[in-house]
Amino acid sequence: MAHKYKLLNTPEEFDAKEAEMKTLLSIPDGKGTVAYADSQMIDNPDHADYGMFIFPVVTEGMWKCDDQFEASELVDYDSSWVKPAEELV
Amino acid sequence: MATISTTISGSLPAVNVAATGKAFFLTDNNKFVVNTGSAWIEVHSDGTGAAAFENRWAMDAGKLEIASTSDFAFGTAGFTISLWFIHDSTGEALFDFRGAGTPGDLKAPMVWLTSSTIRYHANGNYRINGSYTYQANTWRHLVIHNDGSGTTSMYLDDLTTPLGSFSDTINYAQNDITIGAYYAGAGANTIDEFSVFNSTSSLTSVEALASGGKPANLSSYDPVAWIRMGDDLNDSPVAAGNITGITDSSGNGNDATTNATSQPTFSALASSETIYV
Repeated sequence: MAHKYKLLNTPEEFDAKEAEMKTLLSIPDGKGTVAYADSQMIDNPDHADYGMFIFPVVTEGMWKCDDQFEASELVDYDSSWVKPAEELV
Repeated sequence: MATISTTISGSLPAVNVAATGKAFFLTDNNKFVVNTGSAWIEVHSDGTGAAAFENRWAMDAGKLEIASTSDFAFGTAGFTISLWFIHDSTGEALFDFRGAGTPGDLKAPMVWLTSSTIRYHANGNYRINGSYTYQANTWRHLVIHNDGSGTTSMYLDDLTTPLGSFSDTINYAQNDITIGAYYAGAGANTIDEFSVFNSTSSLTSVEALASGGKPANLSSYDPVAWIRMGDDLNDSPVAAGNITGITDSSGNGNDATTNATSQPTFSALASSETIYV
């Protein structure tokens, strides 16, 4: 599933955008899809955008919603956004 | 054009030599059975009668989540977790007893893979550090077994010799379960037949899970969750199609759900994958 990403400033913005996408895409769908995305913060303190929230935007398939965003505000995934997952344990 | 006779499982005619070769499609359980002259056997692609269920589907990438329930409140009474996987070589969790809603319980069991290690984590750190050799495109069988007497062991493929064990006094609390990734991630591995048992299954029962390299019929072992990744009749797998949710085949209602942006896809197993009949 292809994604672009929009960086949001606060968890409240993330929650609001997630709710908007759920309404747009009729989630929950009654077939097991219960949410659009999990909230994830840029937790690498060395990254310039440390503390911002990563909102995934699906660009193809049944959950495509990139038409709801300005193309100029979407970015590719940056692997330096988050620390390696194992270190979070 | 010849057609196959149909009936239901409770109405099969008596087994006898004269009926040898007679075949029926059972419409109540979608099985194809043949009379050998001494028994009705279920026939699969390898031509042998098998106790193992027919298994055509697996989960490819993404993650699933099962909501927290007292079924997963293992305490110190013992538990078993089993799954089959194909590793994509990257570092990622195979499962994590934490979900997006309950990320903070560090007692949660988790197994983490890298290209050279397989580790069982619980209570904030890894407890078993297993030597692991990555094998591309190969089904592997993982079992975590807590014997209810203070020992947790991790088995990979060989259920007679654990990769490692540790003295386990953790009082495991109930939590969400994430399958295929750690709670905040989305994995890339292929996973099938994820099952959870909250009884102190004996090692014999655990060994039965492998059943000679094929997934066993787990229903007789009373799992509290059994996620078959599309082989439950209530699910509708489509090769490379999105998995929106998976029915819990244990009958306990612990169905798996998904988030749209990390949905796994169904992987149809190749006919050459003889581990599944």
